[in-house]
Amino acid sequence: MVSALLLRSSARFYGRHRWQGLLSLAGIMLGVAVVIAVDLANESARRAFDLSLEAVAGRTTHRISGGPDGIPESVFIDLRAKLGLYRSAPVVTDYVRVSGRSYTLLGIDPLSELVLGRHSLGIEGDGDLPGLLDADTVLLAAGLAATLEVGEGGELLMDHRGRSLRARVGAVFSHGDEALAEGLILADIAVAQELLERAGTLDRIDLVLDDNQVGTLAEWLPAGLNLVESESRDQSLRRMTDNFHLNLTAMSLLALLVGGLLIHNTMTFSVLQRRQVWGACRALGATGREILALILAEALVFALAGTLLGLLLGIVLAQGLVGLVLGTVDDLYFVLAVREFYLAPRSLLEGAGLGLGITLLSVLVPALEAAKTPPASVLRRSHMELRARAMVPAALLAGAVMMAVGWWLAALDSDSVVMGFVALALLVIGFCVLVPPVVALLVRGTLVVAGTLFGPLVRMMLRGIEAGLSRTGLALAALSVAVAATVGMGIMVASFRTTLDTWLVQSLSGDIYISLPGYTSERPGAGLSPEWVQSLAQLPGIAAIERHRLVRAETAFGPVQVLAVAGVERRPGTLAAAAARLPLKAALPGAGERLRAGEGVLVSEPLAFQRGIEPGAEVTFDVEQGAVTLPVLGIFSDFRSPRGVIAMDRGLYRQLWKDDGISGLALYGDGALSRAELLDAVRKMAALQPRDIQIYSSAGIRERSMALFDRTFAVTAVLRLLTVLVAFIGILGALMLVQLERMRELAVLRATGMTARQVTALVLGQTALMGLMAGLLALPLGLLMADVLIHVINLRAFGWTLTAAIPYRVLLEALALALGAALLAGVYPAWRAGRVAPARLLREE
Amino acid sequence: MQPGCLAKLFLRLVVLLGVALAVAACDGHRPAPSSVDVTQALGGEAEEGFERAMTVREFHFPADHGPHPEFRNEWWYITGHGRDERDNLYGFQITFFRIAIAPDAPRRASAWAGNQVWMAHAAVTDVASGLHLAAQRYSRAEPGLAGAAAAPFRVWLGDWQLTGLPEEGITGEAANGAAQGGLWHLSMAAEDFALELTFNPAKPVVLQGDRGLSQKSGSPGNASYYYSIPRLDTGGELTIGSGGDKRVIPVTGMSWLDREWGTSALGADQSGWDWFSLQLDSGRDLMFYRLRDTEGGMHGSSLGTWIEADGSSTVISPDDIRLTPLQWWRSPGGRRYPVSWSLNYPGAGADWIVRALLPDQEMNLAVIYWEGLVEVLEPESGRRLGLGYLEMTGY
Repeated sequence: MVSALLLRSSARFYGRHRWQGLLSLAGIMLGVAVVIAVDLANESARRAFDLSLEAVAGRTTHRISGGPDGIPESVFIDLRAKLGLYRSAPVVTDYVRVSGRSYTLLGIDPLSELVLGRHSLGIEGDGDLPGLLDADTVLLAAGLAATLEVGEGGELLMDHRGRSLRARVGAVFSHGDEALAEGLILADIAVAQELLERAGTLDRIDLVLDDNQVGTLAEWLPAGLNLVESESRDQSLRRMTDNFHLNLTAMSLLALLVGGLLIHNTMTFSVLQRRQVWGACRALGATGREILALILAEALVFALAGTLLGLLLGIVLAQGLVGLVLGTVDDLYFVLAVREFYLAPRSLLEGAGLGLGITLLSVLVPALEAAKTPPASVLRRSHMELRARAMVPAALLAGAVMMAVGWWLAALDSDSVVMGFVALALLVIGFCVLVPPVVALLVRGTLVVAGTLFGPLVRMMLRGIEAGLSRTGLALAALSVAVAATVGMGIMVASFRTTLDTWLVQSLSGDIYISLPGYTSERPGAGLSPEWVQSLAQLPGIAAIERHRLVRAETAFGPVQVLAVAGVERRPGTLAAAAARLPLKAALPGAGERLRAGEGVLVSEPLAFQRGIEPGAEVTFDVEQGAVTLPVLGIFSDFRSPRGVIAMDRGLYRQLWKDDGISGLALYGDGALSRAELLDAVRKMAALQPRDIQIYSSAGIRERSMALFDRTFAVTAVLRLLTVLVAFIGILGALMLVQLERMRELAVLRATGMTARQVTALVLGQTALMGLMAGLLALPLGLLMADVLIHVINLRAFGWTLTAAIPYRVLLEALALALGAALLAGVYPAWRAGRVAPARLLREE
Repeated sequence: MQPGCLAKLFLRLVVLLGVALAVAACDGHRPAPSSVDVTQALGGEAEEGFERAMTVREFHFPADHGPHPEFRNEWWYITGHGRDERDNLYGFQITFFRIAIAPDAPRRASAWAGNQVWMAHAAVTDVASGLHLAAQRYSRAEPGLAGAAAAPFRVWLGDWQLTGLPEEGITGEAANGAAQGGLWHLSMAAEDFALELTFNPAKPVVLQGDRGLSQKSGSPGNASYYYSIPRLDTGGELTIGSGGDKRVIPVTGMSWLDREWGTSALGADQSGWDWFSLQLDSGRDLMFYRLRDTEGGMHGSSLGTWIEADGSSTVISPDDIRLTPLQWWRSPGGRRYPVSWSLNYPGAGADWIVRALLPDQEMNLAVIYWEGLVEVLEPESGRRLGLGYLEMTGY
């Protein structure tokens, strides 16, 4: 039972230390908010992904997919009539752009869908139902209709690979699950075939099969078609986005760690600050249990208020984050049909649990201590400092061991991303434990080695730091970790950027690149017209031309992109620039020759990593003439698709898939015309073509790629900022409190002859010094984190090898950040210290 | 099978088609057919552009075994019974429905574009085991997923199909001037049963109603063209069960073919029907459909035919016959079907009990109705006079 006296003392304390109360609240609130925001954004993205996948795939067991030209529709008729596979549904689909954004146009056969029991939708209004099957009629999801501001009977303008399409909105449909109804354009399969110019062809056939049927079908299936388990295909897609979400979660946990440390710090501080109060209360008869109850009750009030505010702030933050996260998923993996914010109850509960739990836990140790310690020693402050000092060797050992284990784990040969994060977590936590003793040692060492070099003021600053470590140590550790995180992520992103840029420069050897819109989409269109390409090659100023074909193919490794590259065709009498290059990471001897001879393929690095493919391994393609097995001649570095690319000579490709299409071109100038002139000439020729053709200079592609990269990493940048913000508020609070608590000590200094300016300098200098130390300590940890992020986590999660680049700007920024935060925290106490009237403060003594 | 039922099926299919499957959701609750207000839903306009059965026409075979796509609805419908070597009795049913969702076939680039959709229902009854299994299929017609043709005869929906065999069927005297075409073979397999049966006409074609024009209500055009072959010698195999429990049962027996096409719907004052096709051991057959008015009584447009062993027939008008439910069976879904009837037709001296050989022969499919094997009994002695099929809708 807490007595009225104790409650009053508590109220009085926070009445007089409003700042402290607010800072505690802010610490908890920010910590909880960041965790919840990231979690919510992740959950929304995951849900969007699942729903989108289901929206286009549904719950089927298998699918049949074809080569570059899709599946002849007669296959479906045979499936039904000859094999009696009734639970089957044909799909014709592609992405279309409406008002600048990509959407999935899904062409289905309604009756087949009914058989599979999916895509059950409700229709709004009273559309003429049979009319929905009419030519050029599509059904719009309610959300999409609202976004595009078209309704039933309205007109929808779409762009499909540069061709504009016009369709009538036959109906607006809703779905029990609003989110699902958000981004789909649905059409009857006949309409879809006509709109997408795919008459006679299907993109896939979705099936529900039992084991017997699988065998029968696999045997019957014409060569060139693949029977794939839906689950495994979806799984491989999901695994990749999972890694992406794991990365984000790890970052939010980092923010939580920083937040937790700060919460711990402020709460501990508020207990320690009142040692005398507790002592007095104990002396007046309050029991230890009462004091414990009071402290816990106080903490609970803060925890509840802080968590509640944190939840609200987190939800607001998440709304902003979710767009960024969805954008990344969209750019990298999958065009999402759903992009709705989803308020996951689980995320909220988790965040609330973390906020309450960490706050109460962090106050438990000092509270128990305050309750246990006999009144007399509670009154002595030195008691705490002595204990803290006694723990230095143990802390040093524990921290060092944790970091060593973390480092060892990171170096282990494993492909587990989670393990990578565990290693990273051990490194960070070990480091936190190390910070206070290391700072103590640093200060002591400095005093021993160079103490006599400094004036008394500096010595006082240093001693003051050491003396206050029991209260500031954790705040320092938090600042260090936050700064280290910005260093680590900064280096990782910079390395990624540099590597990507280098790769782009290497790969883009041509002067001008030409492709059709939708170049990277899953299905090849008709491609560029061969006659046009021929006439392009005759253009003056062009020395050589290189043809590409990029299609999606089913392989034993799941769906991958197949890149067919033709050798550079030089114009007679011209000297061409460098030939096309795929930057090789590893290769068999003579890989280049053998590739050109069509004796094998190259595999992109992410795919090689995911599947453990090494040069010399074999890849099997199921094509019309049967299974063709080819050796992997080498691994090339590639950043265009995290799902993997297999590159081969165009001759081999044409032989395998009987596809002469051209998806893209690289043009090499002969130097007679400037790049701009050449670009202009090509653009003029393109204007004569009926379709939109994309023409970029290699510099233009580079620019666009880097812009995409920056957009993708916008989430990372935001999270980095948030972490720093949490740390900043925390350090501000912690340092400010320490300095304010020292007011009486400062008054003594004033009384013994220090000037106001000297006192101000003492306070500012001390906080600055602490900031500097935190910053300096953060650098090695930051480098360590960068190393783990680059060489362990990125590699395991995405299969990308990055070349580490250390931008010194990032390091300097980190130092400035730590120093700035500390200095700013010192300003108010310094100002107060300078203005304090010693007599008034000392009178209380 | 009567046009009202088709109208309901039609409605449902239109909904399915149009709405990409609004009905997938409905399927979960399986609404009663009677809960669909057909007349209101269809209105008058939906029939515009289709041909209608207005006048008596001449029938030509085998051409009329084939499709009549200018009419909205059409079906090929066979019910029958057979016995295995141990004299166990089985019933079976197969129906192919053609439904046009628009009067004219569109001319479009995609082969999937079309105006016809198909549905098929099949069922088997194993009297000894008390087992009734039913299955359905539906599909759009194009591109070649389902359809019908007169020569060579074929009606199919996926791998369910009824095909004409090259051998001649009924010939000579029995053909009675109306050439019926040859043998037909049915092949269908569902998850838990399959039918492989051959049908050989044993009686000539009977034109129902007024020389094949079957009026369904007072308004002109609300009618169909309707003919039957009341007896088809039947032989083949039934497969019942799946996996290890699969039984393949050779059977021989007798079937009934109904063919009907039109552009009609149930009248506003009609709520459902009871359709009897009875084959008597004496060689005579009786067909009667009782259209029920909203009070459950006999509607004036009800009609039937008495067929002698030689194929000659007499029209049975509603006043000639009395039908009284004797016993009801409640389905798991809560519908009450009369499964035992008293049939009184003084014109042929008939005073019978028509009783289901298994109460539970409900077709629990996209459209729910009762369709099953029945026996004809002499009330006093309980002696079996024949077998047949009974269809009941709107309960």
